[in-house]
Amino acid sequence: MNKIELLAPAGNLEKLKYAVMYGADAVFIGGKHFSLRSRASNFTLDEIKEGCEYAHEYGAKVHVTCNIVMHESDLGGVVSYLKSLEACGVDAIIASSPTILSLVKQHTKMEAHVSTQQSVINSEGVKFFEEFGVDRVVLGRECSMEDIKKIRAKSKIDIEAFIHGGMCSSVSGRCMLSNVMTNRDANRGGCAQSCRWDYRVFVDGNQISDDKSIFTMSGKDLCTISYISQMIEAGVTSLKIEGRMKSLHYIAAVVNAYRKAIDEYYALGSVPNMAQYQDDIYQAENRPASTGFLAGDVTIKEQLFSREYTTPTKDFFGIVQKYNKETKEVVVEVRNYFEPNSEVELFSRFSGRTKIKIGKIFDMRGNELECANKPMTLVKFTTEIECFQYDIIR
Amino acid sequence: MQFAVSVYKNSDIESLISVGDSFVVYVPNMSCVYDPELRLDDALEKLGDREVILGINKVYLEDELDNLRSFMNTHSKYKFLVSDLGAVQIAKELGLIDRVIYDPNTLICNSMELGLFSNYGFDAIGMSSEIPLSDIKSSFIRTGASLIYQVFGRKIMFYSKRRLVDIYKEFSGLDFGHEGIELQEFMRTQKYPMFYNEGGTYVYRDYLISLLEEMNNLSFLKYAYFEGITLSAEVLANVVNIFKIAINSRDLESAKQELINLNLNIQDGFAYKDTAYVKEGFDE
Repeated sequence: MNKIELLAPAGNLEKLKYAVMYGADAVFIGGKHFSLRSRASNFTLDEIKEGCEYAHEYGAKVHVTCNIVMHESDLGGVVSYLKSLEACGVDAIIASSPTILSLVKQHTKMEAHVSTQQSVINSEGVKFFEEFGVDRVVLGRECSMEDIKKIRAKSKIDIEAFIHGGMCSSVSGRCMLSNVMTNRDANRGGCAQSCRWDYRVFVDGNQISDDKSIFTMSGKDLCTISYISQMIEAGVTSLKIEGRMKSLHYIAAVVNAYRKAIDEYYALGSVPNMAQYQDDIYQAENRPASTGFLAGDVTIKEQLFSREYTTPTKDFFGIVQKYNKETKEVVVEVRNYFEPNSEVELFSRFSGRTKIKIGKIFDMRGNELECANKPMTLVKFTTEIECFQYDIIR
Repeated sequence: MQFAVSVYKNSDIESLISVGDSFVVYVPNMSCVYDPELRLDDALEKLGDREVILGINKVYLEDELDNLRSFMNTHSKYKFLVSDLGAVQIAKELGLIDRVIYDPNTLICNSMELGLFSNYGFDAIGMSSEIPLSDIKSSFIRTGASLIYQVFGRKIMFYSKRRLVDIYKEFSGLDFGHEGIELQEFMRTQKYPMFYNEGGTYVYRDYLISLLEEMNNLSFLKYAYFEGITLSAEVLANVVNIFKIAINSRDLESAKQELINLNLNIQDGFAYKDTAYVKEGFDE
């Protein structure tokens, strides 16, 4: 049995590298063309090439999303773009458009993956795309675990399931809230997330809601690490973490937690450290999470009715660049403000989570600093705890 | 061009049977929005030998497939309006593809997609209502595809498998029925009709679209669809008659005035505008 693939998002080259370093078997990215998430910092062709080279060096694959629903004016240049992506070393294209999927198969040797925007949630839908000639279908997030098992059992092609990240409240690809309310096209990358806005409720013309009973369509984010063993046993090909716009810290922490859970299951047949991995994810989340539809119809526990639930973004302070075992000096690239004499957490893909005390902080010339407050500059301090390059200080 | 009208209630048929050419009957538990009290056998009997299109346009979960297959097999003399490619696949297997109208609402927005699906041999295909009419026309010219297109009524803008109203009732402690529910976003004045059932939650645009002025340019459509959700059958029948007058007598101005007299909230939707999206140039 092939080992299940852990597929991670990456909004830029740095995130791609961290996703791979922290355990992703494949990453999905957006190019500058035909990709949703128009506000995500999508990749140029040069960046895609560099990303592919990096990922391939570590045995990981790169999938590129071309998942907009094209209007007539968008049609030009698809084949040329696909061929350019292939030349960059891209392994697979994720698309909702059957036209793009067929062009991938006709003109390149890349795999063609059906995007969740096609909202395939049953085995006959998978069979349609099997006969169409694609390599993989990404299931809609409305499938329960039992649905996924049945669909997997009846299907010949690869099946990918979402396991973590944001959830559309609507059936994916079918939502026109953003189009109608803001003229921003959700299916072409402009989703205004109108489902997360607040609404009053009227019945027969009379308002029945008040400030304490605001209606919203928003669901909690998805977190299904507790279903890892069932996903593996069901024979799912790939597990997808959503969130190309999420932070580097989020990607590293979430990917690493799933990586460890998957590896532990393959090694032991169970995941005894599940609680630890769930907590690792919690440390990086800034929205409440649930298991979505995996247990069946969603209930009040999977919905969000108040923005009060949102917790502050859990930023990280810096990234370890170097550690000298003899002098105990660690060099850190600053990402957010931190002060001397503070206690922080070291998050390492090798040694897990460790509390460390920061004493004095120095710049690279040896001048003592009152604080580390210049992002992307290097500072140093000493710690007895061994650090590794690309560990995260948070 | 056939005028296809929606049928949600058995009692609608009396008003609509004389004005429609074909009738889209929304089947309980198999379509998105439906009236749970619709008696399908009775509706089919009343419609007799008129062309019936069975609305079974929800997105189906795995456990619903056996029932769907059985239903399509049993009702194979009728046409089907579907939006799920799983339902399309079942129709292929049952040899019913030429009885299927495939309308995924939002997903077919260009001539290449239309041409691709046209090769499957559907009775008709629905293009998105979120693209300009000029694109609909040019896509038809390029493909010659058989098309269904909504020319009047409300358009759905949100379809969720989540039972959001039941969950909201639990959250708020409020209790209310299935009819007359509207949402209003806090920063807006528009009210959006909302429906719910066992299959999920559905929100419609705040206005009705009307392409009355374009009807003489839309003669290439196989089906001009009239959606009657939130309207009485009598009003819908009136509207269909007004459209007929506009086409037959070519007296567009009178027809427009009659439509205005019905005092409905009518707009032209995306007929003359495209959504916001800036495509970056690709240097080949």
